[in-house]
Amino acid sequence: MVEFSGVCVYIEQRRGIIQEASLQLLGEGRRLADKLNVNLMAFMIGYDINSIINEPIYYGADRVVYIDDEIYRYYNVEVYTQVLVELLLKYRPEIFLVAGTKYGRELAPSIAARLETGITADCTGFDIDESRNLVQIRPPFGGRVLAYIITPIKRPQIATARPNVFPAPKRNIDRKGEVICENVSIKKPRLELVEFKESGDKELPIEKAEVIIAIGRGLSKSDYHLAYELCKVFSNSAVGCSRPLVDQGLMPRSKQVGQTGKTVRPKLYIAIGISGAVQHIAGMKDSRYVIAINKDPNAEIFKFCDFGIVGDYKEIIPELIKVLRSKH
Amino acid sequence: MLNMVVGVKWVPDTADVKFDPAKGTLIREGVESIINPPDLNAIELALSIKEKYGGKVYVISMSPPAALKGLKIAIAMGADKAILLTDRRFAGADTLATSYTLAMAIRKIGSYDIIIFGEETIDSATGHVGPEVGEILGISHVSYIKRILNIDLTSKIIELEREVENGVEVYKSKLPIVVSVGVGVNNPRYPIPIRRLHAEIETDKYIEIWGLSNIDAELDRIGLQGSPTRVIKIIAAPTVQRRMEVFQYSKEVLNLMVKRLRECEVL
Ligand SMILES: Cc1cc2nc3c(=O)[nH]c(=O)nc-3n(C[C@H](O)[C@H](O)[C@H](O)COP(=O)(O)OP(=O)(O)OC[C@H]3O[C@@H](n4cnc5c(N)ncnc54)[C@H](O)[C@@H]3O)c2cc1C
Ligand SMILES: Cc1cc2nc3c(=O)[nH]c(=O)nc-3n(C[C@H](O)[C@H](O)[C@H](O)COP(=O)(O)OP(=O)(O)OC[C@H]3O[C@@H](n4cnc5c(N)ncnc54)[C@H](O)[C@@H]3O)c2cc1C
Repeated sequence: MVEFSGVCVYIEQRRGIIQEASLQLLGEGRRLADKLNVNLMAFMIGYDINSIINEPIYYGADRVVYIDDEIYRYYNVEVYTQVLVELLLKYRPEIFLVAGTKYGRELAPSIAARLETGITADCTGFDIDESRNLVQIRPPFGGRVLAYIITPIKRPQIATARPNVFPAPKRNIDRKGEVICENVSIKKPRLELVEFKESGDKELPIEKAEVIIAIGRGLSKSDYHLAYELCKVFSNSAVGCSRPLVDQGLMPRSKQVGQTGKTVRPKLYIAIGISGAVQHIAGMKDSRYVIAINKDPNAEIFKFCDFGIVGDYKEIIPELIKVLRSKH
Repeated sequence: MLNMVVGVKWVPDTADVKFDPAKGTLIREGVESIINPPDLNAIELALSIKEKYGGKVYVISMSPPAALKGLKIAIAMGADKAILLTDRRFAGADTLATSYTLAMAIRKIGSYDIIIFGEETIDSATGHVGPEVGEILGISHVSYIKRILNIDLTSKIIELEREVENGVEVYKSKLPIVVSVGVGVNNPRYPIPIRRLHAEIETDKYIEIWGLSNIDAELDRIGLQGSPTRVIKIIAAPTVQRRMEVFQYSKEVLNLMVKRLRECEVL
């Protein structure tokens, strides 16, 4: 049997757009490959993706293996699992990294189960130990601890990392590499995607914003406009929210910050009417500066903020907007 | 008639878990355990399918015997039967070994149409178990579902909806299927006191305790020896030191805040 060697990153693309999170993993992948002194490979699946197949090379890959066919136009866990398992068995990387998007968090364990290998979720750090194992560092228990996990025997070692945990490497269009077009035959899936309704949300995604105004259950729906007005005072800003607002259909899922939402690390995070539950903190604790506005002086959020104001947001936000406008 | 199987994990209420930095272990003593929150939504979904289409709801948990308490809650909510998978040889399982053991137990239940899990746990929070069980059983699986649109009992075809970052997807599959749900997809019903009482005094009638001998599982795929991953060390997570300057609101406070934002070069 051929040994497993090399590092591989799965490059997730949706409608011809590569997910930022996959590019971020290429940075880590490059670092690990250099440490192991092996190649960095990228797998890509889709339809009509010719224009983007060189991108992984620009971001650090030595080789891109891609599959382009109409049947891969949309993600389908059953189809993508089959394809990636085939590619992994053929190219045999020792490490396989997958961006922890909703798709990735479903796809990666699915592949791991087929290959009967180990998988570590939501890693925030990687290292290589003296036996050339991948040390996978992850923050379970709402981020209170860091667990160090290895997969000592089984290969490939599979790991996921949430978006925005690692910085994306610089794009360098002078980098050269090998591009291989593959073809695999797959079984007809039992699971069928009937419809994909793209959300019309065209605002700046919260994970890209430098300033986030995050609103929680403490805000009445009729006051959401206050948050948007405050948001407009800053450039590169976006409104985010806690989970209950999404669950109640008041805000789109794309704006949810937290353990089961997005991880953000803006320069400034302003939490308004948010109590500070562990699951929320898990998504914003690495923000540079945190302001909390809450009427309850004992709210947990005050333990996780740099500057806290105890009071009613109805009074505070309009005044805050005025002050910022005059001094900005 | 549909058979639903719901996976339930009995977890420490993480909000109360503390870490002992000296020993490098989590302090679980005195920490209440609860049903992993989204698993309550999974139970609710199963019960609502049963009410609409008819069928039976099984609840299964692989855990030390303490999880019996959680299974009684599930019975009190309306589940028909619960299975506690407990055996010293199951201990130390990572997600693959957990999923394999659960899959073998589900196979032993016999006929199953919809297997429902929580999207992830509040302790180790991997979200692996749903997809892994689906793959091990060789059936369809979809994580993060929002709702079931339709189930055709004759053709055994299910249609469901789920939300991803950039939109909503509708899937169709032949049963059986594994799905996972998050908190907020529905409102879990409260346990019914009289059912709770029954679960308490007639536990054997509602809850079966299975060990390794009750399922057909290969020894080298369960427990620690069946686990490809190893947790080698746990440390306290470094926390960002926050300034925690908290003030009662006044207009002057806002001026101070702007000053701080300038000092910290945020503005
Ligand atoms: C498995 C699981 C996963 C979860 N994942 C997430 C996640 O990813 N993200 C997330 O956010 N949550 C998540 N949650 C939910 C989380 O536990 C909390 O329930 C949630 O974060 C609370 O939202 P909140 O702070 O907006 O609401 P609440 O906890 O209700 O807090 C509202 C706050 O508003 C304050 N307030 C009220 N009126 C005013 C006023 N007039 N002026 C100022 N302040 C006011 C109150 O004092 C209170 O502190 C998850 C929960 C579970 C169980
Ligand atoms: C600190 C720490 C970190 C860990 N990290 C990893 C890791 O990265 N990779 C890995 O493979 N293992 C890991 N493990 C092991 C993992 O905790 C166990 O395998 C666990 O039993 C299942 O994983 P989970 O809690 O993440 O389940 P998830 O996959 O998050 O659970 C999803 C759903 O599956 C169902 N479910 C889960 N467990 C059970 C159960 N025992 N009985 C019935 N239903 C269940 C529930 O419905 C649950 O909502 C870790 C353990 C620790 C202590």
